[in-house]
Amino acid sequence: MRRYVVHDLRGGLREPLDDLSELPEFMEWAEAEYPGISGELMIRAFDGDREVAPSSWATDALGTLRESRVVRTGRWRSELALTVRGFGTGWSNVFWSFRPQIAATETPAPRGAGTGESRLPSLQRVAS
Amino acid sequence: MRMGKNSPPPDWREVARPTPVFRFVTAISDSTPRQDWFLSDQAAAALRGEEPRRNRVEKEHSELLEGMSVFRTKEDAQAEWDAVSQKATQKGEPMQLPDSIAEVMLAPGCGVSIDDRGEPDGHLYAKGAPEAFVPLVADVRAGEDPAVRLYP
Repeated sequence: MRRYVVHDLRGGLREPLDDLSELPEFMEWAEAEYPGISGELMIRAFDGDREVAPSSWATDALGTLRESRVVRTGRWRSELALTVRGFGTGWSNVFWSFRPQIAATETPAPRGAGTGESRLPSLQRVAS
Repeated sequence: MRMGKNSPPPDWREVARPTPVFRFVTAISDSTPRQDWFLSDQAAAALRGEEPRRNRVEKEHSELLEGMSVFRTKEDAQAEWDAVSQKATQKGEPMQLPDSIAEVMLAPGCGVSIDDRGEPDGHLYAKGAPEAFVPLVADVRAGEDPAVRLYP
Protein backbone atom coordinates (compact mmCIF):
# COMPACT_ATOMS: atom_id res chain seq x y z
CA MET A 1 0.00 0.00 0.00
CA ARG A 2 1.32 3.41 -0.94
CA ARG A 3 1.46 5.93 1.88
CA TYR A 4 2.71 9.48 2.18
CA VAL A 5 4.32 11.84 4.63
CA VAL A 6 3.63 15.53 4.22
CA HIS A 7 5.85 18.18 5.74
CA ASP A 8 5.03 21.80 6.16
CA LEU A 9 8.59 22.84 6.69
CA ARG A 10 8.17 26.41 7.82
CA GLY A 11 5.19 25.59 9.98
CA GLY A 12 6.86 22.58 11.50
CA LEU A 13 4.00 20.18 10.84
CA ARG A 14 4.57 16.61 9.75
CA GLU A 15 1.62 14.47 8.86
CA PRO A 16 1.48 10.87 7.63
CA LEU A 17 -1.30 10.29 5.09
CA ASP A 18 -2.76 6.96 4.02
CA ASP A 19 -3.91 8.39 0.72
CA LEU A 20 -3.37 11.48 -1.38
CA SER A 21 -7.08 12.16 -1.21
CA GLU A 22 -6.46 13.18 2.41
CA LEU A 23 -4.16 15.96 1.30
CA PRO A 24 -6.71 18.74 0.76
CA GLU A 25 -8.40 17.82 4.03
CA PHE A 26 -5.10 18.04 5.82
CA MET A 27 -4.39 21.41 4.24
CA GLU A 28 -7.76 22.76 5.28
CA TRP A 29 -7.32 21.41 8.77
CA ALA A 30 -3.84 22.92 9.05
CA GLU A 31 -5.03 26.31 7.89
CA ALA A 32 -7.96 26.28 10.30
CA GLU A 33 -5.77 25.15 13.16
CA TYR A 34 -2.76 27.32 12.41
CA PRO A 35 -3.89 30.39 10.48
CA GLY A 36 -1.17 31.75 8.29
CA ILE A 37 0.72 28.50 8.13
CA SER A 38 3.16 28.61 5.27
CA GLY A 39 1.29 26.64 2.63
CA GLU A 40 4.46 25.12 1.38
CA LEU A 41 4.56 21.39 1.40
CA MET A 42 7.06 18.66 0.83
CA ILE A 43 5.69 15.21 0.19
CA ARG A 44 7.42 11.86 0.29
CA ALA A 45 5.77 8.65 -0.89
CA PHE A 46 6.45 5.12 0.27
CA ASP A 47 5.54 1.59 -0.74
CA GLY A 48 5.99 -0.14 2.57
CA ASP A 49 9.17 1.41 3.87
CA ARG A 50 10.64 1.97 0.39
CA GLU A 51 10.57 5.52 -0.89
CA VAL A 52 8.96 5.88 -4.30
CA ALA A 53 10.11 8.14 -7.11
CA PRO A 54 7.74 11.06 -7.61
CA SER A 55 7.48 10.33 -11.31
CA SER A 56 5.05 7.56 -10.40
CA TRP A 57 2.74 9.63 -8.24
CA ALA A 58 3.34 13.37 -8.60
CA THR A 59 0.81 13.68 -11.40
CA ASP A 60 -1.82 12.16 -9.11
CA ALA A 61 -0.88 14.61 -6.39
CA LEU A 62 -1.27 17.50 -8.73
CA GLY A 63 -4.62 16.23 -9.98
CA THR A 64 -5.87 15.72 -6.46
CA LEU A 65 -5.02 19.27 -5.57
CA ARG A 66 -6.45 20.69 -8.79
CA GLU A 67 -9.77 19.09 -8.03
CA SER A 68 -9.82 20.02 -4.40
CA ARG A 69 -11.99 22.75 -3.00
CA VAL A 70 -9.15 23.97 -0.88
CA VAL A 71 -7.20 24.99 -3.97
CA ARG A 72 -10.11 25.90 -6.23
CA THR A 73 -11.46 28.34 -3.69
CA GLY A 74 -8.09 29.71 -2.80
CA ARG A 75 -8.45 29.01 0.88
CA TRP A 76 -4.90 27.78 0.86
CA ARG A 77 -3.98 30.83 -1.07
CA SER A 78 -0.92 31.90 0.80
CA GLU A 79 1.63 30.91 -1.75
CA LEU A 80 0.83 27.27 -2.08
CA ALA A 81 3.82 25.42 -3.28
CA LEU A 82 4.11 21.71 -3.50
CA THR A 83 7.54 20.33 -3.65
CA VAL A 84 7.89 16.73 -4.42
CA ARG A 85 11.00 15.14 -3.22
CA GLY A 86 12.84 13.70 -6.14
CA PHE A 87 14.76 10.52 -6.34
CA GLY A 88 18.33 10.33 -7.40
CA THR A 89 21.70 10.70 -5.85
CA GLY A 90 22.53 13.21 -3.21
CA TRP A 91 22.31 16.81 -4.25
CA SER A 92 21.23 16.05 -7.79
CA ASN A 93 17.77 15.03 -6.66
CA VAL A 94 14.96 16.39 -8.74
CA PHE A 95 12.36 18.77 -7.40
CA TRP A 96 9.09 19.83 -8.84
CA SER A 97 7.09 22.70 -7.53
CA PHE A 98 4.10 24.71 -8.51
CA ARG A 99 2.49 27.84 -7.22
CA PRO A 100 -0.95 29.03 -7.98
CA GLN A 101 -0.97 32.77 -8.35
CA ILE A 102 -4.11 33.32 -6.34
CA ALA A 103 -4.52 36.88 -5.20
CA ALA A 104 -5.32 37.31 -1.56
CA THR A 105 -8.29 39.46 -2.50
CA GLU A 106 -9.76 37.01 -4.96
CA THR A 107 -13.34 36.07 -4.21
CA PRO A 108 -13.53 32.41 -3.29
CA ALA A 109 -15.69 30.24 -5.53
CA PRO A 110 -18.85 28.85 -3.95
CA ARG A 111 -18.32 25.69 -2.02
CA GLY A 112 -18.26 22.72 -4.33
CA ALA A 113 -18.64 24.88 -7.40
CA GLY A 114 -16.78 24.75 -10.62
CA THR A 115 -15.07 22.09 -12.61
CA GLY A 116 -13.36 24.48 -14.95
CA GLU A 117 -9.76 25.13 -15.49
CA SER A 118 -7.51 24.98 -12.53
CA ARG A 119 -5.63 28.04 -11.48
CA LEU A 120 -2.62 25.86 -11.03
CA PRO A 121 0.05 26.05 -13.65
CA SER A 122 1.42 22.85 -15.04
CA LEU A 123 3.72 20.72 -13.05
CA GLN A 124 7.04 22.31 -13.52
CA ARG A 125 10.41 20.79 -13.15
CA VAL A 126 12.45 23.49 -11.47
CA ALA A 127 15.79 21.90 -10.79
CA SER A 128 17.74 18.75 -11.30
CA MET B 1 -14.32 18.52 7.78
CA ARG B 2 -13.04 15.49 9.64
CA MET B 3 -10.74 16.93 12.25
CA GLY B 4 -9.25 13.81 13.73
CA LYS B 5 -7.76 10.71 12.24
CA ASN B 6 -9.25 8.20 14.68
CA SER B 7 -5.79 6.91 15.27
CA PRO B 8 -4.99 4.45 18.04
CA PRO B 9 -3.81 5.88 21.35
CA PRO B 10 -0.12 5.72 22.16
CA ASP B 11 1.24 2.31 22.96
CA TRP B 12 4.47 3.11 24.76
CA ARG B 13 6.63 0.01 24.96
CA GLU B 14 9.91 -0.41 26.72
CA VAL B 15 12.50 -1.87 24.44
CA ALA B 16 12.89 -5.61 24.84
CA ARG B 17 16.32 -5.87 23.23
CA PRO B 18 19.12 -3.50 22.27
CA THR B 19 17.57 -1.13 19.75
CA PRO B 20 19.24 1.80 18.01
CA VAL B 21 17.21 4.92 17.26
CA PHE B 22 18.33 8.06 15.46
CA ARG B 23 17.64 11.62 16.53
CA PHE B 24 18.37 15.00 14.94
CA VAL B 25 20.61 17.02 17.26
CA THR B 26 22.61 20.24 17.19
CA ALA B 27 26.18 19.08 17.53
CA ILE B 28 28.48 20.80 15.05
CA SER B 29 29.75 23.31 17.59
CA ASP B 30 29.63 20.95 20.58
CA SER B 31 29.19 17.24 20.02
CA THR B 32 29.17 16.21 23.66
CA PRO B 33 25.82 14.52 24.31
CA ARG B 34 23.62 16.60 26.54
CA GLN B 35 20.13 16.53 27.97
CA ASP B 36 18.70 19.29 25.81
CA TRP B 37 19.07 17.02 22.80
CA PHE B 38 16.39 14.82 24.28
CA LEU B 39 13.68 17.12 25.54
CA SER B 40 10.15 16.00 24.84
CA ASP B 41 8.30 17.98 22.18
CA GLN B 42 6.24 19.50 24.97
CA ALA B 43 9.27 20.47 27.06
CA ALA B 44 11.14 21.84 24.06
CA ALA B 45 8.20 24.04 23.09
CA ALA B 46 7.79 25.23 26.67
CA LEU B 47 11.46 26.19 26.74
CA ARG B 48 10.86 28.34 23.66
CA GLY B 49 7.76 29.81 25.27
CA GLU B 50 5.56 28.31 22.56
CA GLU B 51 2.74 25.87 22.24
CA PRO B 52 3.96 22.76 20.45
CA ARG B 53 2.81 22.35 16.86
CA ARG B 54 0.67 19.24 16.69
CA ASN B 55 -0.49 17.25 13.71
CA ARG B 56 -3.91 15.62 13.72
CA VAL B 57 -2.76 12.49 15.50
CA GLU B 58 -0.99 14.55 18.14
CA LYS B 59 -4.11 16.65 18.59
CA GLU B 60 -6.04 13.49 19.28
CA HIS B 61 -3.40 12.04 21.57
CA SER B 62 -1.48 14.84 23.22
CA GLU B 63 0.43 12.24 25.28
CA LEU B 64 2.57 11.78 22.18
CA LEU B 65 4.11 15.15 22.93
CA GLU B 66 5.54 13.64 26.11
CA GLY B 67 7.87 11.95 23.66
CA MET B 68 10.12 13.18 20.87
CA SER B 69 10.76 12.22 17.27
CA VAL B 70 13.34 9.60 16.43
CA PHE B 71 13.88 7.38 13.41
CA ARG B 72 14.13 3.63 13.15
CA THR B 73 17.28 3.48 11.02
CA LYS B 74 20.22 5.66 10.12
CA GLU B 75 19.02 5.58 6.51
CA ASP B 76 15.55 6.79 7.52
CA ALA B 77 17.01 9.72 9.44
CA GLN B 78 19.48 10.57 6.70
CA ALA B 79 16.79 10.46 4.00
CA GLU B 80 14.67 12.86 6.02
CA TRP B 81 17.62 15.16 6.64
CA ASP B 82 18.55 15.11 2.94
CA ALA B 83 15.00 15.84 1.83
CA VAL B 84 14.63 18.84 4.10
CA SER B 85 18.12 20.07 3.31
CA GLN B 86 17.55 19.88 -0.44
CA LYS B 87 14.34 21.79 -0.03
CA ALA B 88 16.14 24.50 1.94
CA THR B 89 18.86 24.69 -0.68
CA GLN B 90 16.34 24.93 -3.47
CA LYS B 91 14.60 27.79 -1.71
CA GLY B 92 17.77 29.48 -0.53
CA GLU B 93 16.53 29.26 3.02
CA PRO B 94 18.13 28.09 6.25
CA MET B 95 18.02 24.40 7.08
CA GLN B 96 15.08 23.69 9.37
CA LEU B 97 16.54 20.64 11.08
CA PRO B 98 19.41 20.38 13.55
CA ASP B 99 22.78 19.84 11.91
CA SER B 100 23.57 16.30 13.02
CA ILE B 101 22.18 12.82 13.60
CA ALA B 102 22.80 10.98 16.87
CA GLU B 103 22.56 7.23 17.19
CA VAL B 104 21.12 6.26 20.56
CA MET B 105 21.45 2.63 21.56
CA LEU B 106 18.45 1.82 23.71
CA ALA B 107 18.66 -1.21 25.96
CA PRO B 108 16.16 -3.10 28.11
CA GLY B 109 15.71 -1.29 31.41
CA CYS B 110 17.12 2.01 30.14
CA GLY B 111 13.93 3.86 31.00
CA VAL B 112 12.96 4.75 27.45
CA SER B 113 9.72 3.70 25.77
CA ILE B 114 8.86 3.72 22.09
CA ASP B 115 5.56 4.32 20.33
CA ASP B 116 5.72 2.83 16.86
CA ARG B 117 2.79 3.91 14.71
CA GLY B 118 4.10 2.12 11.64
CA GLU B 119 4.85 5.35 9.81
CA PRO B 120 6.36 4.72 6.39
CA ASP B 121 9.36 7.01 6.82
CA GLY B 122 10.50 5.20 9.96
CA HIS B 123 9.41 7.96 12.33
CA LEU B 124 8.89 6.86 15.94
CA TYR B 125 8.14 8.58 19.21
CA ALA B 126 10.58 7.96 22.08
CA LYS B 127 9.74 8.86 25.68
CA GLY B 128 12.07 9.00 28.63
CA ALA B 129 13.86 11.38 30.95
CA PRO B 130 16.42 13.39 28.95
CA GLU B 131 19.19 12.22 31.26
CA ALA B 132 18.35 8.60 30.40
CA PHE B 133 19.30 9.14 26.77
CA VAL B 134 22.62 10.90 27.27
CA PRO B 135 24.78 7.90 28.21
CA LEU B 136 23.21 5.87 25.42
CA VAL B 137 24.53 8.06 22.62
CA ALA B 138 26.76 5.78 20.54
CA ASP B 139 27.56 7.96 17.56
CA VAL B 140 26.96 11.46 16.23
CA ARG B 141 27.50 12.33 12.59
CA ALA B 142 27.08 15.48 10.57
CA GLY B 143 23.84 15.48 8.62
CA GLU B 144 25.41 17.11 5.60
CA ASP B 145 28.29 14.66 5.40
CA PRO B 146 27.56 11.46 7.31
CA ALA B 147 31.17 10.38 6.84
CA VAL B 148 32.09 13.09 9.34
CA ARG B 149 31.88 11.54 12.77
CA LEU B 150 31.50 14.12 15.53
CA TYR B 151 31.22 11.76 18.51
CA PRO B 152 32.70 9.69 20.09
